[in-house]
Amino acid sequence: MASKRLIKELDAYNKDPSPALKALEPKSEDDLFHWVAVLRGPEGTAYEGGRFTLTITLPSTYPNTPPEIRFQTPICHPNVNFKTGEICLDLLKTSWTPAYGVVSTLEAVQQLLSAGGEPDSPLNIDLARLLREGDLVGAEGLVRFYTRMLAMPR
Amino acid sequence: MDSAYDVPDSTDWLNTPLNGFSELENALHCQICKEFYDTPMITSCNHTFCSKCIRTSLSSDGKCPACRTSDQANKLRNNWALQEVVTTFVTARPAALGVARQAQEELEAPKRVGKRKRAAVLDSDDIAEAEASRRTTRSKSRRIAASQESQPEPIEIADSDDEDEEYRPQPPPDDGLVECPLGCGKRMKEVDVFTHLDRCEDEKKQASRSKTKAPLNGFGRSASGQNARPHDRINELNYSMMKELALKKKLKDVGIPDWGSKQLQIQRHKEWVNIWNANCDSNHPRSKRELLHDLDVWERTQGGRASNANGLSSTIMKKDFDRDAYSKRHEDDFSRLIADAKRKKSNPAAEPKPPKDEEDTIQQPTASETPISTEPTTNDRTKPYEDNPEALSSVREKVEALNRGESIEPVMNEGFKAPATEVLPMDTGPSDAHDFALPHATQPIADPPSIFNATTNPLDTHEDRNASQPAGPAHGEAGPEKDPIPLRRPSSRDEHSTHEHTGSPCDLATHIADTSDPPRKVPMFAVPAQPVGDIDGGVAGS
Repeated sequence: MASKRLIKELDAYNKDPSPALKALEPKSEDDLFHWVAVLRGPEGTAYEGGRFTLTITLPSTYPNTPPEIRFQTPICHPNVNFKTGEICLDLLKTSWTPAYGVVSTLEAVQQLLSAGGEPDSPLNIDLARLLREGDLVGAEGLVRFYTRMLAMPR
Repeated sequence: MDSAYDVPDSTDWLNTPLNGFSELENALHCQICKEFYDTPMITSCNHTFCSKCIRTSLSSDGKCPACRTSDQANKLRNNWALQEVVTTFVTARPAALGVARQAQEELEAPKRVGKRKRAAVLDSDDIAEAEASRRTTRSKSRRIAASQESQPEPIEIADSDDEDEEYRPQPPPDDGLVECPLGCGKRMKEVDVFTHLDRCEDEKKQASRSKTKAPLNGFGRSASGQNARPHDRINELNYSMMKELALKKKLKDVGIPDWGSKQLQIQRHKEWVNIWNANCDSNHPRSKRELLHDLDVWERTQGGRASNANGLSSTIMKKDFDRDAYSKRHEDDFSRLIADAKRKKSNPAAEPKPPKDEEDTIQQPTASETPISTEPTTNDRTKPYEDNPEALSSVREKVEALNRGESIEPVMNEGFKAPATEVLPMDTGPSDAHDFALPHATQPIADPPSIFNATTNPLDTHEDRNASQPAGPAHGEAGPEKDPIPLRRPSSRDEHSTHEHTGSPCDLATHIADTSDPPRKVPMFAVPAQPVGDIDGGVAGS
């Protein structure tokens, strides 16, 4: 069931790509359970112009259990661990339902970027602290810096 | 492309004039498997999913995937109307898609006649093929239907023939035989009537049963399937209440493999329940052999024979949490914690409390029963618990009790904590009496020193000390205590340092404490080395 649905999702994406994603494909031809995606930094935010690579690991029980999504490109965001790329998003944990798909989940991750995150449950403590103390300019500068340094092709 | 890779999808419609059909097709898809509904079921919150999908989903988290209200599998109801819509749409789809694509081709290349023609020809071929296949399937089904329809006829004719035969023998009555009074039509000797009457009812019933059965059978597959159909749904068991053997027996009873751990058996049984019940819902139930094949597929992809390569990743919140991998991954943390705990145990300098207790008790009598550390006290008479009258009063109470020669009462405020190890009670024995903050502040029970106590206790006190730091007095000790324990958790040090710089009265204490550091260390180390038995002696002596 899992692989059938994954083929479907992949096919649907290839025919009707999501604007949030630059690429989405399995890591290798014969392994359908590990994907790589390239997410565009949402426009109008400090992430604009960034290209963030994410790794997606799909459990064999998918879609009844959520996919595991991590940032491979380091990203400066209060709810993303800078080193491991772990994402703190309820959709990926408790509020997952089988009605979501990989693409819609990645779109939700992009929304997490554009919404600025929730500094009260941080995985990036330093940035969250900046945000909590109201230093929006500093936080945005930091994000912009890291995005430019790590997520922009040149 | 291989036809296997040509997955029919709603996006097929997008580049055709019929792109509205994309939405229509999407609406006919189950949200879980993203395919056309297969035996659609309505939940009690009025959402519709495939039977298998919703059953699997409900058995894993008990909630409707669309609206997250909780639901139960036995409240699902068939959505026959939708099922019909789906089947008809699926049969009509290839032709419609063919037409739509052809129209698109014509729109795109209206001038290049030759090409268009070829394309059109190709396309019409395709359509013809599709049509042909459809027609064959249709004609096949019609044939089947016809044969099914024709089947009942002979049976009914046979029935009427029987009746005819029954009616025919009526005219010749004078053969000396009597007709059955119950009207079964049989004729017999008068003597046999009574014995016949006994049997007649049964025979009649049997006859009527076969009569009603025959036309039912005549309706063909669905009806004949209904006979073979597993009527009774099975339920999930109360797995946690079952012993492994009982569970094994259950698995055997329903005819599925029973190997593997209990966890695996539970999962397998759940899967089987879902497969089985979904089959019960279905209009065209499959044989048990096919169901077993499904279960085998499950076994290879998700069950016991699945490679653990995938699936491990997201197990943290699942019940089948992988302990070994977790412990391996966090081995460093664990070993660090253990090392921490051992160090604390070996030099319970983690209990720097003796001196503190000393300060706490501002009253004079303390000197009598605290022979442990008398030297440093002079420095630290800074009334550490000044701002905590409750603590002070309890401390006073204890001290007075001690003076009266009573045995030390356990301090119950932290009563749930495990009694201390052999080391702790001994130095806390006398001091406990004053120190309300100590978690292990119980009477000096000679508890068997177990590893657990030993490891947990220092940690507990460690935490506790951290907690009490903001209160003020602990600062005095925390400062010097840092030295004997070089490797402390950075967090607590941070916390400590922040506090150090905030409270002004504490600063003084810290400094003083620092100066008095070397002499104070001695008692701290010396005390725990004494054996347990000394407590009683010490208390009695004082």
